Amino acid sequence: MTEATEANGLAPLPAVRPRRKRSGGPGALTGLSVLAIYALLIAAWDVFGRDVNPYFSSYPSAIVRAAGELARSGELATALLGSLGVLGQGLLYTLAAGLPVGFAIGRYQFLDRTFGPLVTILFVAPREVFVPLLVLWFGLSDASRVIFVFLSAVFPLIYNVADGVRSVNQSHAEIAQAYGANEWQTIQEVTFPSILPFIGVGAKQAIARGLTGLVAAEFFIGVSGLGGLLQKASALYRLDRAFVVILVLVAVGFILARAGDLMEARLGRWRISERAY
Amino acid sequence: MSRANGMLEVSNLTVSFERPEQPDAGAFRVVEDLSFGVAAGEFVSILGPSGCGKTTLLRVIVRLAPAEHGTIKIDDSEKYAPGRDVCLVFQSYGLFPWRTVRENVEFGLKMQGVAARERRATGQEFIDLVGLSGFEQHYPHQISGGMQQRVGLARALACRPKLLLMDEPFAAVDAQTRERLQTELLRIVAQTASTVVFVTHSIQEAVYLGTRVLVMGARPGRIAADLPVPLGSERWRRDVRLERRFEDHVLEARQALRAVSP
Ligand SMILES: Nc1ncnc2c1ncn2[C@@H]1O[C@H](COP(=O)(O)OP(=O)(O)OP(=O)(O)O)[C@@H](O)[C@H]1O
Ligand SMILES: [Mg+2]
Repeated sequence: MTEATEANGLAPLPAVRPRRKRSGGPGALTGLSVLAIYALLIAAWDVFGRDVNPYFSSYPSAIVRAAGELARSGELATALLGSLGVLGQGLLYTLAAGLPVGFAIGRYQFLDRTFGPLVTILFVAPREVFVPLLVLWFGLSDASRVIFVFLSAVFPLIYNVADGVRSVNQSHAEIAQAYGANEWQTIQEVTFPSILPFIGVGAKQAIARGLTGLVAAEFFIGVSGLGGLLQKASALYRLDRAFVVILVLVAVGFILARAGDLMEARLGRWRISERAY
Repeated sequence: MSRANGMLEVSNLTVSFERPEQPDAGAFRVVEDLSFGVAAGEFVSILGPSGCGKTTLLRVIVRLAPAEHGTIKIDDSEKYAPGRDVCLVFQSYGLFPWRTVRENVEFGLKMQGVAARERRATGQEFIDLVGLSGFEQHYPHQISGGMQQRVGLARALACRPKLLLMDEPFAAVDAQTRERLQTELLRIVAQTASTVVFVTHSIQEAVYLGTRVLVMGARPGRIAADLPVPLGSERWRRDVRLERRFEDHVLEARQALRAVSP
């Protein structure tokens, strides 16, 4: 194989990419010591935390107990499901509206000039400004909250998709046309793959903003879901419960961020590895 | 200039570009009243000073740019289809970085609506022809420049065009690879019985590959010289570059090019 390719003047490819060694050595030691430090901190918190007034703080074993209570009573599951439902719907509408709107704005200059600045303004504006209007129109309902999540998430997606469409390499489109592609085929075969990395970035931002939008909605638009549970717990000075909700929110955020990273890496795969020389 | 068996017939072609920076000065004529024909089976090399409109000519033929006047016929028809009747191979390869070698080669067939199974078979045939078997799943960035241009060639040939256009296809590869690709191109063209129009800046390359060399002048661009290169067929089997008459043709082309260069 190697001989044959060399005879053809083709450079043989390295079978394995050189990779830095990571297992063992100082890296593993740091990992262990980090774990040890956290274990120590948590233990110390558990010991000394008991002496602090429980109205102002809590400590790990109390938090675990509270988590058990909330799980058994079903409050946590209800809140989590409610929150995820609102978030999921909001993100679904974000995708459904963000892709075509971003595409249209990126593709048609007239739309860009008309709505482009509006998108930028809404992208950077604090979305809390919508709260009074939403409450007025849709009440303290899930609909209001879904729309709030949607308004939080959709603009980064529109913005990035439009940016992607604008930066499609024109020569790729021309090559497709020289090979007989019609307009629809050019969109399918050139525009769409070209903007995938931008969709990845936009979706990741949309997820992050959607999550913070969710919590804000559950604070400001009626008391519900995880945000509501958090507010109720702190109003009753049940800080152990509040910590449980915070940890769940952090976990949800972490999982969604990882999902967003994976999506971004997957959609942008060819671009990351493309050579500029 | 009509000839029997004309595969490409360019008549009185004029191409202009707008000059946005000085709209009053009128359009900028790149090509004016350009005519030439290419018979089936010919390999026509085009030489010309930089900026004389060679790329523009090829772009107009595949309808990426409009002609102002004149007609272009392929196989006696003005209603030819780019990607089916005529394919262009680009200088910087023009591969799609998000498509594998196989997907790039099959691109033209996909645009024509060829079914996946047939596409696969035809694509493989041309991947084999250009010597890229085993690299079907690689992305363009994973293969060398010479290999990328083989993909570009296979993508064009897989459409089985009546006319193959090439715009300085080997300009970006090193000298050794270039010589090897030239010889292989001769073999492939013979095997596929292709008709080729080949733009280059290398006089040696033009004479080595071409059965005819056209020299284009600048401002406005039109054909200034039409030199036959009767070095015989099956040229990839023996190296005509070792023969004295090869040098004679190179000299002739060089003189013609000198005459039109500023
Ligand atoms: N889209 C365009 N708009 C305006 N002018 C153009 C455009 N494309 C080409 N030109 C002009 O047309 C002329 C011919 O360009 P072209 O690329 O066809 O030359 P060329 O013969 O291929 O040159 P080279 O040998 O350097 O590749 C140049 O002066 C160029 O500036
Ligand atoms: Mg050129």
